Amino acid sequence: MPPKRPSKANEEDPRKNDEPKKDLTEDHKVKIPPELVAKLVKNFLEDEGTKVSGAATKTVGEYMHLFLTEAVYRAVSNRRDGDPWAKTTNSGLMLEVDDLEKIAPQLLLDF
Amino acid sequence: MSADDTEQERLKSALWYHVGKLVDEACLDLNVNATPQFIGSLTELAWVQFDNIAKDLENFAKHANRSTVSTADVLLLARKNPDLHGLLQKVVDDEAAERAAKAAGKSRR
Repeated sequence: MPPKRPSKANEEDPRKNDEPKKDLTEDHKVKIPPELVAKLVKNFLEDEGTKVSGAATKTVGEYMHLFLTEAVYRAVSNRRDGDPWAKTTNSGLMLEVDDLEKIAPQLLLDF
Repeated sequence: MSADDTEQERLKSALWYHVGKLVDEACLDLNVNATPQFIGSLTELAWVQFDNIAKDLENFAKHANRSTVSTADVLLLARKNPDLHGLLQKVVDDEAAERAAKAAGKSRR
């Protein structure tokens, strides 16, 4: 006889069916516009003559998208013992500056 | 306030707005909320990160005797993080494939 599964596993997550797992490479609904990315990068360049290719700008946009999303996920994960998807307990969780401070060092090392 | 300072402020405001939108999207997925202070701090972090990577990219390009930053330079940013490198590589490959398809379509016409 198989061990009794915890009741939690039997609960149907209503979002699971109508929400297919997002492919990271699919176009994000929300993203930093490439024009802004290009301007920001240009703003910080030291040499006036340096140019940035369009494909490179797009990749930097993806890089920053990952950076920012990762920051939020890590902040939540940190507050929820490594499980950012603990939806049932997540509601009402308010992310504070403290949460960002805790994850910032490792985040910056990873990026 | 000099004209340059004003421009910096405007850029930061634009970044703030888009960081806010990104955070909102991620928060929606996770069913949490973020304080405005959280978004502000994250904007500051992203601002510094942009500063760092822009200078890195410039130096990577220079090291390769180029004056234009290419995708190869961006991939070099992620050299210490294989997972990140893989994700960015995918973006670069998709972009290259898209361009190749477009070029092929043009030449056929």
